[in-house]
Amino acid sequence: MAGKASAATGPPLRDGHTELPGTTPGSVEVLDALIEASPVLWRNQALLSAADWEVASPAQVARLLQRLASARVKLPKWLARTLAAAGHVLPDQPSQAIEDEVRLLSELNRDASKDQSPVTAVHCVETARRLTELAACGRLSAEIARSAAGRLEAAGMMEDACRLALAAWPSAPQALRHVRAHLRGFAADFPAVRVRVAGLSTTRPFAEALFPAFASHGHRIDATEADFATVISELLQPARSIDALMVLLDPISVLETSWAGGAAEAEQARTSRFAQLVDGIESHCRSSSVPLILNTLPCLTEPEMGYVDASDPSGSAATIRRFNGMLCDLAARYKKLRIVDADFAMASIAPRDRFDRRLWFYGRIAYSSHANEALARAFTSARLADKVAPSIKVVALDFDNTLWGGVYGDDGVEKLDCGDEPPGNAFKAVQNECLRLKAQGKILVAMSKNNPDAISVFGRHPGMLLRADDFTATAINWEPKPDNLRRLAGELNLGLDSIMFLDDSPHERDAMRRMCPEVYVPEVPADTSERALWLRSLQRTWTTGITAEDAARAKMYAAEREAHALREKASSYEDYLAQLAQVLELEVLGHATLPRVAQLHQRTNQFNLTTRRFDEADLAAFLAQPETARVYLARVRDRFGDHGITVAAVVRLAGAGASIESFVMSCRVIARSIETAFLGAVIEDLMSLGVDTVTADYLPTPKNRIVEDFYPSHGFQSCSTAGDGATWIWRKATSQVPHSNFVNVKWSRP
Amino acid sequence: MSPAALQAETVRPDIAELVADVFQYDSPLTHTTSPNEIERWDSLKHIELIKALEDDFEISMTMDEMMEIRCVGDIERVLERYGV
Repeated sequence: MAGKASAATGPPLRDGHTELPGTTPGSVEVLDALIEASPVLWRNQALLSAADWEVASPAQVARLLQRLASARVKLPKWLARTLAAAGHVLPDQPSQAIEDEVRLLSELNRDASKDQSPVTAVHCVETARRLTELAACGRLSAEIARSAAGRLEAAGMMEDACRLALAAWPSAPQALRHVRAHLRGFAADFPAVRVRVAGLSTTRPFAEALFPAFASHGHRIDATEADFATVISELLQPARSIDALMVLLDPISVLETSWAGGAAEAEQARTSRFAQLVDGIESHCRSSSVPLILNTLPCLTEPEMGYVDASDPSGSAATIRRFNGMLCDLAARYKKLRIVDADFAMASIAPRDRFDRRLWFYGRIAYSSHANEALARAFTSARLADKVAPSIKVVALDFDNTLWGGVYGDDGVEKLDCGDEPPGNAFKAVQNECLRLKAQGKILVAMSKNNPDAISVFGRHPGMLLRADDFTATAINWEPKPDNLRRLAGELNLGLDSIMFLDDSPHERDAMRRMCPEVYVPEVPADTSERALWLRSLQRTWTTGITAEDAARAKMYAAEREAHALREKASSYEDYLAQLAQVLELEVLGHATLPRVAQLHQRTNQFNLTTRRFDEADLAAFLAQPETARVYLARVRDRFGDHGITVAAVVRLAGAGASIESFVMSCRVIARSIETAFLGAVIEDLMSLGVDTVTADYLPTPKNRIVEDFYPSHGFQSCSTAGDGATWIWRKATSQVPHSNFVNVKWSRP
Repeated sequence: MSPAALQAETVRPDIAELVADVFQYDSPLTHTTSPNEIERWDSLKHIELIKALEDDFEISMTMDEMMEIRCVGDIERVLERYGV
């Protein structure tokens, strides 16, 4: 708050009649004078909030509040915020509408100290947790975030301070300064990711920003930097023991050229640099198994070719477009290449503020610090997207004022807003985004407090895009929404953490967060015109590529619910399984099936024996070495339809021994004996390769307890245990090959 | 020593706090404290220092000013120019 401190004694106070004679900078006398005049001054936000309230005593703050109260002035929101940010405690009066974040900070100001009692400590941790929650959904202002992080740090609550500062980082980068010294300790036990960073300009500010970016995803980056501007030789180096190579590209150095030899030479220099980069990227993708992440070039803000910069092939805008096109062509060809879109990554920074010319000439640093931080976060999500938070499979939608404007129960169908005119067109746009999510493989479920006939609105109102049958399941009743959501998750056989809940009501969102903390509940913008595009910005719904299964998922879940109904009718479970007429079609991994098998490894949490998140690059590496690894997968069909590829396993081969590195199965086909048939077929195939011993791990997580006994119940013997986990062994000599009477197994050999 | 000279010996507390924060430097600061004493004060940390000064004092320095700052006293001189 140093800036504010001096601003208090700067121009505003020395200007004409507001001058307060005989005061020294930042002194208590200035505050006393302001407090005295507060009933008159309270409308002058600039003047009051510029004062250095950090040096005010509690007695002075009490006098300020009392002066305002006696003049019947309600404590303005901004003043409450200023006081809390300056470390003061606000009175706990229900009559004063104090914002959530301000109240929480005030509580921290009261409680957090080095010598707090155990009871207060518990309270402080809870307060810090709630502030962190606000920060995570973008509801914590920079001012409060910074002050709260400083308060926690001063009270010695380093972990809480780090968590808060990391959650607030995207909108309040300054909060991180308080905890920088403790960040490494905070992340010490996180799983490490080894990353090599290279670029055509100085990459250190970017590389340093990667640390908090990885830490906020629960990982610890172990970054090494390539020598200055050695990106080509980095790309040409053979495989190394790193988990990713990140190449930071910037338009200034990629387009850098000398005009001394005239236009033709300038163009030639660029063309040959492009060719070198493309060659380097291609050769890396062909020869190395290390994933490569690089960014597109963001737009420049000054044209090189004046009016024709966009259309002349040698204009900078045209050149950037061409270069980005080449990158994207490469990404379409090589799985291990991931492209970060720089313009999206830095969308919240004005194009001119993405570069800092001083830093360029001072140290060949192309991007401004905010830009480097935004890029570091985008590179990090690109690397970790499928390894951390599970991606969203289900979107649960409220009706009134979420999918249409107005309240069906009060207004009737005709008066609801949804169509081509404002304000209804904003709701229609939201419905269209919901249909996009459905087309990309998400399941839509209805979650509305209404009479059940509310579903008929979609057929009766002419402006609706959604139809009743777009919803795979519905809960339209007056029960609490968290109860409804738990029930639906059970019916669809999906974990709560794969569900996103969209509701315009802050009350319903809070209830959901409290009762079902696993559910993803983003803050829906209050302005309806913001919502459609906001839906595209939610990273948890982003896909790493659409597979055929995604496109057909809604149908498959509908089949799942029909099967559910058959189970209710069948006389016994065996009878039900027999009636299902299941077919398991096995094959060995090929290039065509690679994306889906990677997706299964990334999405499956329950029926996942080891939770080893093999991605496309990992699987491509197995595919390249058929003598040491074999990846099996299978499609499941039954009388209700095709479930697609729903089960897979990675097996390592070593002579007569084999080990099952991963075994994943979609929860859509759990408890149908599919796993038994698949395991049996895999073991038979391994025996045909000369294998007589199969070992397999079970690594427990909070979610995969249902498979704890999978191996022992299929003829495996205990081999060893380590911690919670266990290794099991199957021997041809002593164990039976698992077999299921309810599944017809077929092989399809590519 | 005159009062003015005495005052000049002490670093402005807001600047001292910022410098200590950025470089994680605990020893006392004087106007002549420079990269010679503060080991972490290299060219890249220098950028962080400039950034912190700009954020906290709401100013924007030129590249020449960036390069002019070679010790703690220089910081005070540059800030004075901006009237903060």
